[in-house]
This record gives sequence, C-alpha cells and structure tokens, in this order.
Amino acid sequence: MNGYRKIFFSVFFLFISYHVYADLLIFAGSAVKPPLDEIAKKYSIQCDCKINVSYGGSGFVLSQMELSERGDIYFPASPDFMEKAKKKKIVLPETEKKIAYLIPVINVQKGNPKGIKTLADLEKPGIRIAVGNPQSVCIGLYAVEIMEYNGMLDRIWNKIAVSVESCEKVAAVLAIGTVDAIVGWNVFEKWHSERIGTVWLNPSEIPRIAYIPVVVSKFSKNRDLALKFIEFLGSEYSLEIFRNNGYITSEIEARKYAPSAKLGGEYNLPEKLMPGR
Amino acid sequence: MKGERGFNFSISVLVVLVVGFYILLFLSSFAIVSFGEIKTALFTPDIRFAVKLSIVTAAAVTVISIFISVPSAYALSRLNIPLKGVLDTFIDIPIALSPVAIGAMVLMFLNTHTGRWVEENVLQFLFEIPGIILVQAIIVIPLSIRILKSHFDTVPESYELVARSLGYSRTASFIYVVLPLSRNAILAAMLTSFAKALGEFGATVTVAGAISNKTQTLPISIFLSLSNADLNMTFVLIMFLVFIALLNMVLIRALVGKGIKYD
Amino acid sequence: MIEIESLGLKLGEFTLTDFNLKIKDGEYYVLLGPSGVGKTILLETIAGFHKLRWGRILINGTDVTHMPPEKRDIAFVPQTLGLFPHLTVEENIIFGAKAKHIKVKDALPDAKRFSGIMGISSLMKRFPHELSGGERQRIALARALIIKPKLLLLDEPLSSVDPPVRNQLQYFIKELHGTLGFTSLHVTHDFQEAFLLGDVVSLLLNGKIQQTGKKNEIYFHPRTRDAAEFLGFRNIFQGEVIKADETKLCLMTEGIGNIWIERNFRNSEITVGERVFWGIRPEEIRILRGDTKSEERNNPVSGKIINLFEKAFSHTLIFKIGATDNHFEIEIPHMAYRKLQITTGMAATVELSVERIWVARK
Repeated sequence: MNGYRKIFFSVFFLFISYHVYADLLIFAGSAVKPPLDEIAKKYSIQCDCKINVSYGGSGFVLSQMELSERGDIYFPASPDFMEKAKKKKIVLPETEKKIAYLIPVINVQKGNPKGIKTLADLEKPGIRIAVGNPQSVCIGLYAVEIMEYNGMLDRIWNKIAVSVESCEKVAAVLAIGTVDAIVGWNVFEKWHSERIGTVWLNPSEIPRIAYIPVVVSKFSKNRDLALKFIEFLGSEYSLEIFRNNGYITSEIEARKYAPSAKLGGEYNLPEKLMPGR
Repeated sequence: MKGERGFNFSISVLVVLVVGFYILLFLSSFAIVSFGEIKTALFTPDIRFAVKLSIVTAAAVTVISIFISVPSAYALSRLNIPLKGVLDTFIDIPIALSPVAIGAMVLMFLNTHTGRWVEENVLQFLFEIPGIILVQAIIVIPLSIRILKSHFDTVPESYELVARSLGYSRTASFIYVVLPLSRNAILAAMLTSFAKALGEFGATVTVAGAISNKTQTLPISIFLSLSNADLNMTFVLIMFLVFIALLNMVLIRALVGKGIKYD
Repeated sequence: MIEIESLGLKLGEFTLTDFNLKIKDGEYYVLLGPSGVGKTILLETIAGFHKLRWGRILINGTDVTHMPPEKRDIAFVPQTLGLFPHLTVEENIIFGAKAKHIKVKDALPDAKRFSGIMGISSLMKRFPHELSGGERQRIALARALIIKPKLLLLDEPLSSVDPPVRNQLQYFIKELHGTLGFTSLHVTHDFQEAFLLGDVVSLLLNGKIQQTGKKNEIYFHPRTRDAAEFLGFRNIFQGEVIKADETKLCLMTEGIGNIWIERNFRNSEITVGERVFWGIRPEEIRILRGDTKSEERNNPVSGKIINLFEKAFSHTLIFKIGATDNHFEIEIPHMAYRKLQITTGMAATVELSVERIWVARK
C-alpha cells in the first residue's frame, strides 16, 4: 500500500507544481481563434507574460466569465453579446474597442452551382437555405432583419431548412453541402476557401452591419496589462493579421459595401419569431 | 423448430445491422479526411499535447475514482447505514444530469466563499488542469460506484463471514477475500471510468475552459476545430478518439473475459 | 463449555426470545428444526455477525457477547461452505493461519496432516469449483478445524449434497468427532442426520426449544403434537381419556374406538377426562394375517387397504379405518408385503403396539 500512496501523492504534487499562473485570461468567441491565437502568441513574447485564451460560443464564454467572476478580457464575435455583457455590468464599457467589421452576405457552394445571384433568388424552389438561430446567433439575427427589411420574411421563413445554433456551424453546414445557400458573414469564404463562395448583397438591401468588439472585464486583476493588450489588438500588426484572415478592419472600407447601414446596435425580433409562439 | 430459426435469424440480422451502422458512421469520416491529413495532424504539437493531456487526465481521474468508489460501493452494498436508500438514489442523480449542468454547478461553487477559499489556499481548479480532473471525477465516480455496487451485491456475504470466523477483521476480510474476488469488476469500472473521462466534454469545457496548450483535451479540440470550421482537423481528431476508445474497449473485453466462478 | 443465556434477537422479520443452550466440552450438539425457522440467523449470532438484543454468550466462562467474530475463536461453516474460489484447496485450508500470524511454511505441515485425516491430500493444488460436493465439504471442515476452534458451527452442512454422499459424510463426521473430540453445534432439518450425529439433540420449533435430550428420547417420545409431526409421526389423532390406572391409559377416539396405552413417567400426569393427542409411527403398525385373532388390549383396528405405494425397499399402505374417513399410513418392509400377499381393496385388521403409542397434551 505504501508504494502506491507515494506514487499517488507525487503525481498530485506534480500537477500542482506544473500549474503556472496566467497573467491574462481572455474569453473569446471561437470565430476569432485563428487571428487571436497568432496575436496572443506574439504579444506574450513581447511582454514576456502568459496569455491564456478560452474559446467557445460568445454567449457560453460570457456565462463562464460571469459565473466564475474571472477573466481579464472579453472578445465576442459579434456586438449583440457585447451589449449583453454591458447590460450585465460585467465589463468596463469605456474600454471597448472595435477591431473588425462584418458584412452580411449570401454564401453559396464554391462555383455557385445553383446560380444564385441576388437575394430574391433564395426564394426559388429547390434552393435549401440555413440561417443561424436568431435567438442565439448574431448572424441569424441579422439574416432575419435583412429578410424583414426586404419584405421576404414571411415567404422565406417556412422555407428555411436548418436553424443552426452557432456562427461556425452555419458556415459548416454549407461547407458540408447540407444546404445550398446561407446568409453569412463575408469572412466565411476565408474559413472554407475550397468549399464556399460569396455573393455580395446589394448595398441597399443591407440594413445593418456588425463589428467585432473587445473590452476589459470588470473582474480583471491586471487592468493595465489588459488595456495594453487591447491597444495591441488595434495595432497595425494585429489588424494586418485580421485582414489576412478575411476580416475588414476599417469602418471606411466596410461602408463601401453598405454605406447607409446601421453599425451594430439592437434589432428586435418580430413577434412571431419570439420563443413560444 | 421453424419458429426458432426465424427468431434466431431476425436477431442476428438486427445485431449485424446495428454494428454495421456504427462502422458506417466511422467510415463516413473518411469521406472528408485523407491519410495525408492524418499524418500532418500526428505531427502537430498542439494535437499531440491534446492527446497526451486527455490520456493523462483520464488516467488520473480513473485512479481517483477507484480509490473513492470501491469503499463507497462496498459501504452501500454491505452496511446498513441510516438513509441508505436515499444515498443510493442520490448517487444516480449525477449520472442523469447533463455534464454542462454539472460543470455550471462546479463553476458556481468555486465562486462561493468556500470555493474561493479553496481556489486561493488549496488548489486552483478554474481554467486549470486540476479543474479537468475534478469535474471529470465528479461525473465518473457515480458510474463507477454503480458498477461496483452491482458487483459487491453478487459476492455472497458468507465468504466474509467465514473469513471473520477464521480470525480476520472486517478490514482484513475485505482486503484478502472481497477484493481478490472483485478484480474483474474493478478492472471494468476502471476502464469504463477511463472511457467516460476521455470523452467528456460539456463539464470539462465549462470549468476548465477551452485553452490551447493548457486545458485542451481531445474532445475540446474537436469542438474547437469544428468551431473554427476546420472540418478536416475535426474528423482527424474524431478518428483519434475513436481509436483510443476502441483500444480501451478491447482491453475490457480481454480482461473481463477471465471470470471467476463462485457459488 | 459453551453457554448461551436468555438470548433475545430481532433481525428484520425474525425474532427469537429467551433462548438458552449449554454445550459441554467435546459434545456434538444438534439443533433440529424445520427450514426457515431462523437457525442460520441464530448460528450467525453466536458466531458474532449479528448483535443480540438480550442475553449473553459465554465460552469457557468468558463473556464474548460483545466481542467481534474474529476474536471469539468460533469457526463457522455456512450452508454454502464458503470455499474461497480464488484460492487453491491448500490455500483455503491454511487461510486461518495468517490471521493468527503463523507463517505459511509453518502452517503447511498441519495442513498436510489434516488433509490426510480428511482424505483430501491429493486435492491440495486444485480449485474448489473443480471438486465434488463431498470433497468440498471435507475441505470446509479441514479449514475450520485446523485452527482448533473452541466451537465449530455447522449450518445444514449436508443439505446440498447428494443422498449417497450424504450418508458417507455423516459417518465420516461421526468418526472425525470421535477422533478429534471438537465441540460442535450442528444445525439441521433432517432428523435422521440429527440422530446419527448428535450426542444431544434440541428440537427448535416455533421459535422455541421444545425439547432437549438424547436422541431416542426425542425420536420416540416427542412432547408436543408439532414435534411429533416434525419427527415423522404420520398418524396423529385426538382422543379423550376414559380410563386411567397405574399401568394403563385408555383413550376413546371417534371412528377408531378404544386405544390402550402403556403408562410411564412421561404420561403419568394425564388424568381422566382430558383431551390429548396420540400417535404411532407408520413402521410400528402391525398387519395381522387373515386368520389371526386379536384382543382389545393389543389395539386392533379393522379396515381396508385402499392404496398402496411401492418403493424400493419398503412399501407404504394407506389403511382406511372402519367406516370413517380417517386412515393410517403403514410402512412395511418388502418381505412382509410379499408374505401377507397384500392387495388394494383387501380388508384387514391392524394392531397398534401398546408401548409404541405416543401421547401428549398439546
């Protein structure tokens, strides 16, 4: 028995000693993983500090942050969750920074086999569509707004084949070939370059565009370091990385695609799409 | 005789269909992934870290689980403690709960007064490796207790009575008589614990987070690569997981096969 | 000397009150009773596995009532024998050595000697599940006796063994006891086994000890109707005492008539007018040859043989008494059956031997 006990305790202490305290804990939406990973790596070398990033759905990591009362930075993949965070008063709104901009587009299979050219084409028979769940996915909410704005919501809502629960799954569902078209973000094509193509919407059809915000959390114990990292996120170096990943990083450029659209803000789902109808 | 043959045939066909279904499921991964991609994945340090982490934490969970569940299961099987029925029922609750629910509760607990004290003075669990082990142990232990209690219930108490009458204390008769007879059940509990811990996702990601090169287990890697729409990587990882799970299961069958007969 | 004083016990549905027992050194004590009456629980309590509510257990004067089983020096052989399946026969036998801190190599010579006595020397390296019922029984005994316990508890040890082996083992245990002289409490529902093995037999019925004594006493003279029935008296009737003097009792039973019973110290207190039970064993009823006459003092009863069961070495006859619905069960050896040329339906007269009739008040 004694021998086993020794082994047990040494393993136990190994785990404890292996632990390295992080200087920064970032809660981020999985959508920003590719650029954020690279940026965080570079920054941690630069500041000689340890940065841990925990990814997940923007809403999920927000819950984690709220329940654990931990974390230095919140970096959701869309503005609606930032609004939620602000409402819950768990972030410092004055530290918010817009990092990149998202334009809603129609994504189709690479090569556009079904020949979809306009928003109206989505109504054609035989075209299967997916949208994100408007209650939980930003792009879903924006999709519904676009359809309502363009007067096609009633006609098209029943046609929607799949209502998916996360941003990335919306893209995945098109990439695998389950549907023919989705309302997605302009970055999706970059995520699945071999399988997805983009059909840009007419600027007049777009009521709203989104952005990816970042903010310092109320629970941060390293506020200065967090602020410095956010600065770094907004630096040319970082923005270049975002651009390489398919993001639009200046508002001016974003406006080219939708000059009169609202930027962020809230959109209320129409009555009939509210839960429990 | 004819009816019997028909019955035998139908159930054989059913079994073949069921197994065939699962095999098809696994093979469908190949539709997306190529061998080249598998090789690349094998050489990615991130992935190797995830595999190592998964195996090591699952092993740690298994060891902890056995040390806790063997005596607990024995107590539930043999002793007449007050409220035994209630305790027994309570053990089943974690098994039925969604892992995310358990993870959320642990998250909340670690934020209470007691929880904070533990985090500051004993060990950090949140978003750290110990958190993986803690929450997986919470999920695995009730299952392990169930398996072992079922087993202890079938070991006739007369063996212990005889040992005691021959001079062995209660503890000694447990160690020298009951445990040797429980070898296979303990092995089965260990391997099931390992399997469950290996594949655990919901609670792990809630409490330990999905942090690359830190708390990123194999299931979490699968989740992350799907989240990043990296489908190739997703299926490569799924195949790794299936492979490790298969290895685990084969071991169970090989070891449990050697049963001990008793009256 | 093992003494159990006023033992009271409640376990689940089973209750026992005011149980008393005294076993002398080297005595083979048999507790006889039907299955399910709690004999196992009683044994387990004596061994120390259950707490008793009242009373004491003393071994050679030492109060062991509150001692754990491992300190009582009582060996227990359960009904299923409890041979450890994961150990060889040899390891099973010396299992008790470790608890007494005896090294394996020191315990082996004793084990060898015992296995020689038990006749199982050739089986030492085998495993229990490979062996026959009789062999396992002997291993269980070796394992229990090798630690020289102050008391050996046997719980229906032969119940799971085939009849031919059972007889063999009964003789074997009897001889073993003669050689080794251990003190034993043996529990069984088989009265033939009890009478073969027991120096003293106690009859346990309805939660109480009904009778204790040497076997013949109990066998031929059970004190209650329930005891009689348990011990194989198949012909039990009720009657009223109409005459009583120093040498004889006369009972009147409806449908059968007057029955004369020999007076002795057991039934000395029975007086005229009492209603009592009486009975006679199937083997003690004599069938008279067709022409033989009988006197009233030999208790003749006329009737008809209405059924006949041929068994291997003896036969059971069902004898309808007179014009009533009552009947006697009669057991006759094969030879007598042939000589008397018995057929079904035949009228006959039987005699009930005066000394062999049992009578009791309750």
